[in-house]
Amino acid sequence: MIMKGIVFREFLDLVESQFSPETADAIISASELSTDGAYTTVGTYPHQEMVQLVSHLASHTGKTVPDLLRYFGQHMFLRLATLHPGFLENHQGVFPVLRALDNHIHVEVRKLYSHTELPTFSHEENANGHLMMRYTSTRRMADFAHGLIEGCIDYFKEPIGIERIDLPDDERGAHTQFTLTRMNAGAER
Amino acid sequence: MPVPNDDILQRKLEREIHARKQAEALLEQKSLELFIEAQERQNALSKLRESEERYRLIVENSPNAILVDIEDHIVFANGAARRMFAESESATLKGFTLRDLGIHIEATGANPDPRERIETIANRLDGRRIEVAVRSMSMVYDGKAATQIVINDISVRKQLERELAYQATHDALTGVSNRIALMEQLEHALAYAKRHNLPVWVAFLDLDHFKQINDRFGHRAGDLLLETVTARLRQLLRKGDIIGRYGGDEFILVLRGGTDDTLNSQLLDRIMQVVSEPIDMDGHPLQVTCSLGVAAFPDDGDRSEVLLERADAAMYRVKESGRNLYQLYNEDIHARLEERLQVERHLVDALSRNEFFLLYQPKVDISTGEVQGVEALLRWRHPELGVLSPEHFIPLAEETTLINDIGRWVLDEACRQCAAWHRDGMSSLSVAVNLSAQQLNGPCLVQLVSEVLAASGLPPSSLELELTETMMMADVDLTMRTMRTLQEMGLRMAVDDFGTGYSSFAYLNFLPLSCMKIDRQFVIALDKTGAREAALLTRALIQLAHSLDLTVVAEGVETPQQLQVLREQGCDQIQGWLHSQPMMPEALATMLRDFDAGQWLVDTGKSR
Repeated sequence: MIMKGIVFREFLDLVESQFSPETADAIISASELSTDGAYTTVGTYPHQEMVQLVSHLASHTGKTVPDLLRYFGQHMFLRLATLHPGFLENHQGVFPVLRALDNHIHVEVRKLYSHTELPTFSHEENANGHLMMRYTSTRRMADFAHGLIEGCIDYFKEPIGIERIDLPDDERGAHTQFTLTRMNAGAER
Repeated sequence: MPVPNDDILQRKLEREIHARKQAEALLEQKSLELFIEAQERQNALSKLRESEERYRLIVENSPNAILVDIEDHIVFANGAARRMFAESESATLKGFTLRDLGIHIEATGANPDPRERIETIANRLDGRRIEVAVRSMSMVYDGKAATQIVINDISVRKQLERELAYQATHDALTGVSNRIALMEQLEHALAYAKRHNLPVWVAFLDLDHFKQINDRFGHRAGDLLLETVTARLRQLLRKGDIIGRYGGDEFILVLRGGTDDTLNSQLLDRIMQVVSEPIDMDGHPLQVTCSLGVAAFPDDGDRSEVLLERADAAMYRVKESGRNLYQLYNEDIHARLEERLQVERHLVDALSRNEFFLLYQPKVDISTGEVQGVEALLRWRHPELGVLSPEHFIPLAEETTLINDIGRWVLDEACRQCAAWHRDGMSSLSVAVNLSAQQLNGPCLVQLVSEVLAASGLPPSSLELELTETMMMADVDLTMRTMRTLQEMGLRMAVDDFGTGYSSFAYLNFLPLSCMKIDRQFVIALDKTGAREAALLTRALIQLAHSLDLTVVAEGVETPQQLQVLREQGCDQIQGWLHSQPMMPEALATMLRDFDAGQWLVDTGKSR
């Protein structure tokens, strides 16, 4: 189970800027990391390392792991939007971006990083401005996903509410259902 | 923001350096992978190009013309197609339509199955027409629905087929129907005549003495003759009449019958006439007559083979009666034909069933009355027709190899019998055997004679072979060689039926003959009207023979008066009923024992 280096880089940068370089150094030192905390955006690293880093950050800062992941997700969307503006060029708005996750953006990701293991999203949309998404991943990063969705809504500044339901796990991993509801239908950009 | 301490900065720096090295290594590896991938792609691409070029060459150099048509326009034409339709390979067919080329393909939409092969006539761009076989199938070309058309030029094959069909049904020399086609046409003509109740005449035409013309003037003359005669006959025949070459110098004419028989007779007369008109052969007029036998449908038969057989029989009658006539089939010929068929049916087994036997007729010295020798005469005891003489079956046997077996049997039997007589004390007796033309000119005569003599123990001097003039004249050089060999062996040879065939007296001098037999027709004439003239002939013949140092035997002597004349004229021997008829060997032995030559001389008026 691996994770892209960019996630580690962004995570550690965020820790440095939001907490401190010392905090970053501390959680790196506390964790058992394959490269002693040296991450490059183009590399891939064990997902377990992220779990260690986040949990050490939690104990270091007194915040919960879900809160940290959700916050990281919000930040990460903005970073991705900055780093890869092309991904968002053709999908203006929250729903188009989220709809395009599985069948477009992940395809683009696979072209660049053929080994990446991606979570799957299925979605259902009804006419009343609802988008229902189901996150399925063995990495149990629903909180990170939650944060990403929030980051997306924040990025486009659309009045959309999120309702989250954590579903029972099964052999495919954790399932989480997000229901997005547009506050005033018809305002989609 | 507080500045981190040096340790932290140091570790961060180390991590950054480490991360950078990782990234560089990854980039290095990625770049190598990309390079290898690019190379592989390049290789694959050039292989694809080569493969495409190969296919392009295969299509371009295919001997079949290949066209691709999109929406009624030719968008591709290979080399063969350009040569086939536009003469030169550099020409283009692009922009033309299949209709321009005279090719019509039925549309089957996207069905990928090849459409049925069609044979049609296509137009070249220069207007010439060619016969082609066309196959087509749907395909996708440059992403568009297209039709691929494969065309073979079958002009040559078609032409050959037509030639073959023509050759199979026509005679190469004269261009008229050959035997196979003729039989078919005859069947059709008869079927038509049956339906419409019309008469048809089937005529068998045979050129007279064609073989001699061929032998004398060469095959070129013979061919010219056949061509000319055919051309004249074709001009003469009316619409609906049929002419075909049956074989050699035999033609079959199938003549539409009318209600008026005299019209047909006139037509037959005209046929005889046009055939006999002289032909210019290198400035020399060449003339030939024909014998024509006719059988009528439905009176003489209603099946083609019966009509042909009967027309043939009628034609044969003409040949026997001296040629240059036409003869309609009649009852008389019918009886003869029936007999012939009966003879034919039994002839094959006659030898094995011991149905042949020999009769012997003495040859008597005219001045002493002594029997000098005998002539062996072949008879056939036919199971249904009774005893037959050779003229009834030898011509038939000569048409097959049966004649060789019969000839050998006759020679063998005659020598065996004569040797037996020698052992019984009649050692001065010689036997004469008639040879057939095939025997004389066959390759094995000398060997056969040696074998037969050796087997029987008969001295060669006691065997005489009788040959007719016609036989000897057929191939004089060959005959001369054979006869010389036989003479050297000690045999004697006689010219039989002298004066009835046609021959050159010059050869008489060169051929090793010892005897001349005067034909019975000259002898019979000696006591009929015109006996004086007949006597002049026999006298001349006898003098001729004597001047050539030949013994003269007169055949068919039946009356004392005939004997008297011949005796006066110096004839050496006689043969005939006046002395004795042909006899079975036992009767002959008895006769020889009891015969008083002196008394016979007295009885026949010889003055002592």
